[in-house]
Amino acid sequence: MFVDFHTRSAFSFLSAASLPEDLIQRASALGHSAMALMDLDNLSGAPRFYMAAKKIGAKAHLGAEITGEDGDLYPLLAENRTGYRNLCQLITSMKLRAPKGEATASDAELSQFGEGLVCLTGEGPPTRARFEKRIRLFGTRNVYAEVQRHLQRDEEARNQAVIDLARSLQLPLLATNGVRHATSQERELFDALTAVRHKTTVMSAGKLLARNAERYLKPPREMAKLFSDIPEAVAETHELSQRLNFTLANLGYEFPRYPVAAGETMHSFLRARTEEGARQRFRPYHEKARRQIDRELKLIEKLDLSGYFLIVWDLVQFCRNNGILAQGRGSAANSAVCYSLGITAVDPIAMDLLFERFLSEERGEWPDIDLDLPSGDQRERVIQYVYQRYGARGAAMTANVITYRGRSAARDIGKALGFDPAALDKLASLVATWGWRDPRETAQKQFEQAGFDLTNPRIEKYLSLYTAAQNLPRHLGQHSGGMVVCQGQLDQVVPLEPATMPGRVIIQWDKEDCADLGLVKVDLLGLGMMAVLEESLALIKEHQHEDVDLAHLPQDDEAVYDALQRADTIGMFQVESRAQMSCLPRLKPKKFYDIVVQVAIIRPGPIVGKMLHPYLNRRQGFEEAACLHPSLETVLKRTLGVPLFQEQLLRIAMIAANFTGGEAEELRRAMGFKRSEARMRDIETRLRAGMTENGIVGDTQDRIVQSITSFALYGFPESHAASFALIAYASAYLKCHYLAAFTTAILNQQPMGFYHPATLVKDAQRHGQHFLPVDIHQSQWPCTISPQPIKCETAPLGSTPQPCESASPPFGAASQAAADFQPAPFAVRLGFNYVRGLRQETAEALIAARPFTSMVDLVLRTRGLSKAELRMLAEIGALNSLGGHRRDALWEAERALRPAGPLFEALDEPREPSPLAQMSPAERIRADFYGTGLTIGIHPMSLHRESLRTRGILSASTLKRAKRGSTVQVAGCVICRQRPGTAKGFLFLSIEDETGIANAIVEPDLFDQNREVLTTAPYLLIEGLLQNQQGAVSIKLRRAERLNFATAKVPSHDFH
Amino acid sequence: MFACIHAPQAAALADSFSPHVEMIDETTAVFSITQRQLAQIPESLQIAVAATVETAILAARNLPGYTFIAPGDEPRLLGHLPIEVAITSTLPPDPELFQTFDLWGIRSLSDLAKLPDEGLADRLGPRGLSLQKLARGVLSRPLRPLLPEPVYEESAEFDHPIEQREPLLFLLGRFLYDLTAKLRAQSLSCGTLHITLGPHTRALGLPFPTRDIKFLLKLIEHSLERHPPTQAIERVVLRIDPVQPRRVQHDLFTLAAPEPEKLELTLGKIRALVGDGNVLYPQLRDTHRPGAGLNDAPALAFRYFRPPLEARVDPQPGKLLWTRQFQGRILNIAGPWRSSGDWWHCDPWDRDEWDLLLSDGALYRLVQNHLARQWLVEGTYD
Repeated sequence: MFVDFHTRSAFSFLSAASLPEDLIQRASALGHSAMALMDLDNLSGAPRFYMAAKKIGAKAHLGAEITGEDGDLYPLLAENRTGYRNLCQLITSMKLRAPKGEATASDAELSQFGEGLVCLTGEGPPTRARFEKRIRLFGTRNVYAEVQRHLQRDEEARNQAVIDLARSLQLPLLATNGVRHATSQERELFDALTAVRHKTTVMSAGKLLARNAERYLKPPREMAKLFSDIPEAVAETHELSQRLNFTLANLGYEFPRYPVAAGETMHSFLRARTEEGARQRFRPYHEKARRQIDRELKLIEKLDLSGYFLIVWDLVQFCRNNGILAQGRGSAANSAVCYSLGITAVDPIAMDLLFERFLSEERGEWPDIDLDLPSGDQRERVIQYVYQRYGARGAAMTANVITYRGRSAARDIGKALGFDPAALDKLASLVATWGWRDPRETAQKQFEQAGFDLTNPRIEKYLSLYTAAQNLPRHLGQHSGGMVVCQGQLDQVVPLEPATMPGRVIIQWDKEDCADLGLVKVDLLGLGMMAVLEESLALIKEHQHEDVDLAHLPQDDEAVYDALQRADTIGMFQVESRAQMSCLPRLKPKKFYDIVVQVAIIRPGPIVGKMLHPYLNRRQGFEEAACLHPSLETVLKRTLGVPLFQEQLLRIAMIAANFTGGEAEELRRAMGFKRSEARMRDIETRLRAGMTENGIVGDTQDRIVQSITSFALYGFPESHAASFALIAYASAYLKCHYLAAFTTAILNQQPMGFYHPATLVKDAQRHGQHFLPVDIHQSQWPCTISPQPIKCETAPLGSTPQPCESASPPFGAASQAAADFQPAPFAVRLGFNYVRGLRQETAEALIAARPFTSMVDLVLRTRGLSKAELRMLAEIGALNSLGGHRRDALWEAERALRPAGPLFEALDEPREPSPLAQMSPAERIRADFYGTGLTIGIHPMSLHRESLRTRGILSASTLKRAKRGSTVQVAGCVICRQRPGTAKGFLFLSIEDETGIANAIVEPDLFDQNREVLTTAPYLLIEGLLQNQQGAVSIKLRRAERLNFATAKVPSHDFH
Repeated sequence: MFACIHAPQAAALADSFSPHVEMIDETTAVFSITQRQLAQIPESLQIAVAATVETAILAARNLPGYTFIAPGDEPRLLGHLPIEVAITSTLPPDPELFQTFDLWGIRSLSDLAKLPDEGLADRLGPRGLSLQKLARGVLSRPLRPLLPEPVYEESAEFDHPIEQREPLLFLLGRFLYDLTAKLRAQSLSCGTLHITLGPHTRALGLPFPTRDIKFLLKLIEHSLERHPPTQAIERVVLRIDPVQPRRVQHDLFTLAAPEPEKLELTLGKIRALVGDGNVLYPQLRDTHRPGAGLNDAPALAFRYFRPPLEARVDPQPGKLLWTRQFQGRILNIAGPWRSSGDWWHCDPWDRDEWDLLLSDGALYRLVQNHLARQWLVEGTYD
């Protein structure tokens, strides 16, 4: 019997080529009953290794190869829980005190954390000093003299020296294999990764590469044969395996206890807080709610989860006390206790949400509470609060394992094979950049088309290595918001390491690993729209002196539902995308639950599962609301017989295929799990067997299976949709009633959402919103709200009032949308944050020094103002308040920027009139787009309207009145191009003119013929068949023509 | 007046008018022109005549056919030219300046010409003023005609051919004395020597620039020793390709390398002894490829068989090894030692090696080449 104790996985990051689960599966297939994983300075692969071993019944020993200060490697194995804790602490200690990638363990650390660890002598030089140092650090009993055989001459000489030393120092001999890849074929990938690690190519790597392919997993019999002259070294592996009794099953993790006053228990405290909250939330606190809360609290007590709820409640309290908006999402929204504690905002009883989806006795795992927070500084405050509350080593962010995917694999493998930068760019571009890839385009075909010779061995190798590298870990990143906290020291459970972002610490496991091993995670997710809502509320309070309470917004606001039904939703959370807008007029939301459906329905899951159209047809009465199977009627009634939510699919599995709650939960995790294809296949088999047992066969069975499996990647839970729908409703409400505040906030939180700020501004203008330009005397760093100007701004000190060339009149008069929105009593003043290239410190210096009497005064008194910054301010009209127009300012700025020299510095500049002509409207638009990325003046298309009209080209707003099925032409600037993976090669195009947005659909063949024009032209004339599906207007494109307008290039959001 | 021709054969055409021609680029040539010559200008030529060099260039490059610009007529004829075209045709491009003009709305030369002098000078300095003068057609500068490149060459012809080395070296020494003096005057140094002896020319490339006559002469002497002239010499030419002189910064803490002159002379002597192609430099290759590096070298010295010997064998103790040169029974065996690599290359390797103690008492290295399916005895240990 042979047990391999010295195996690295791909989690040694570029130092090995196989995944931990592949290694243990291969080992098991070869007849190994146990194996140790020993990655370099980390335990990142341990959970996967352990879980895979557990599944196949193999024993998974854990260890890590630790880099010492002297550069020597210490292969350490955890003998027991103490050893594992020490190993975690050792790695944490060395990682946290060194810059990323440079961590080494000192002798003192190795000695301090040496208890419970077994040390191998490793692959270093077999010197007495090295061996004796290990004995000194770990004790004679815990050191094994390691011999490896990879059919190399010099290794034999080394082994002989090890044997002599082992005898002399009375150390047991241990045969190991120093595995770097599961199979010998993976040696090539290992070589390529070695080259990547050393930032070189395989051609130049020389002796850094492996000498042969022998570092692969070998069957026990072969290992015994290899060491037949020293059988005791093989026998010792069995002895050591018996000795190591630690597995991740006894991790020792404990969630923190919430401190309560004497005489209270955590549960009594939780009950009291819940009751308090419930009275506030449920108005009135009705019997159904009481019963539900009582049921939930009993289960929480039974499962001993009170502490967890209190800790999340504590976080929400912190947010509330500090004016930070926080809202729970995910399955927590199914819980009335969470609702009462203020963690979530959706009333689960009114919504009839399934509590078991959140917490069930059967599952035996921690519930999952995710908090949405305003992105940016506010979220960071909450994260820092968690660190402060639980200590630097009691809390950490979860890791995000960055794996090789398309482009990264294409680039790194290409570099390793020595392709030049031009070829690398070409290779990387071959990897799909658009969401959708034509199935006819095989990799070989793509390579041939790009001019690569497939008979060249390097290209051939590239193809195979690129494929093999997919999904291998590249490095550890930081998960967007998952935090793990622990009672006591988290670094005894899992190693911690510094994140790239200062002040952040991450654990070495990702969120799936945490879930597998029962570590409780609270997701603190940054949501741009939360920040918009928060800022909007502050602005409304400051300028309109109104306190808007998001928790108690009017439920059935007419303006909100009108806007939604009209698909007038630009800027609104989750319902603003082109796809959402095309669906809204057909779905016609009339109540809150319709928004929940709307949020969930435009997802790859329902679209791939072909659930979108049946639902819309049934909603409009075009189709009968039939159920997949009569037994599923209770589950599907609310969504007209069409499964849309994850919860429904779980219930379907439970009813139709006799799944238990636990099995259904396994199904759910397989759905959202990126490495779960095999699990999904296994589940499908079980689903079919269960349904057959219940007499559901044939077509019905297939349809149910398809419904469930189409959610494999992007299933959307109802509770989550409800939480999002609340935010969507709030954003719609603020946009409809407080447009100035909402627009100001959304402009300040960019980049976010679906549209570029230029589109948001034009949309707001169409709704009657006034904008004011960036002004050196009025603007702040962010965009702000100003009282509505009567005609023009007053000029500041020392200058004469000038016409407001950029102050925007709203397009309200002609706009239908504007009529439904309340007229904005306030204007939005663009902030310095929109001035291209202007640094925040310069803007602050300007604000501190103003008002200015002249350009020279401005230049002399503003510290750090650069030439480019002053020019840019002049170009966008921000200096107009000094007197004159933009070109006057540019003329003056150029003079003020030239150093006068000490002799003339004090002299007053004679003010001469500028000889430059004022900018034309087109020039102003161009300058606006160049300098701020948007214009608050006229839309570029309005400059060309007259000539377009004479050519019979319609405007976007007149499309609605055009005859369905007629051929129409419309022109505009492209604001969005989308080619989603679920759309089978169709391109969705949105173009904007001064009256609104027109949407076009391009068929794959037409896209191929016009690819260049469609993907690059900033202005397009499109011609096609007008489609109008219950108010959702679009053009089926027949012809596209580039319009060569010499005005500005309007930015487009492209999703490809 | 100055004339500028903008045509593919600009140089030749300009030469027909004047010996003093300034070439702006391969297709643009400027020269001064007399009233009498104006009548000789063919109508078909793209040529402009103006009072200043720059105006002539600007007009020739941007206006078709023959253009005559009388002094004072420049704004009328050139004012419409777009500013970026006009400027790049006479001056190196300056993106920042273009950006400024673009921001100012200055699109043509007449726009630029109209700007106030003082205001422009305040903002764009002398460069701005020059541009404005160009726009107004009053930017003047002298013509910079192309002068011929100096040639560093000395030669002599003899009534009585030279047959001995000493007089030849004496003569070449005198040539070198004169030529290095010329080079010194121009702060140049010697890069390559071209020595023509009768019908044959030899080139002596120097590893470093030098004007050291003694060294150069010694080098010529070595060359003559290695390749003596095959016949009496009636004509000698020595030409030097000039290069920038060598600048060496000595370091206090690095060991001084041999003086390059001495090293070159020594190498010259070695080449003279063993032949030019036989002087090579040793180099270690960074690869595991067998025979290319020193790694995995056994403690014993190894003698390669060139070429290796094909063998028939079953590598087991007691079995026979057979080659054309020798045969024997295997007494002891170690291995296999496996190596493979260069898998991305058209010439990869993949082989096993054994060390065999044969009944003849010698220790051999047996190789199995997996790719060529060959058994070879590669050599023997000393």
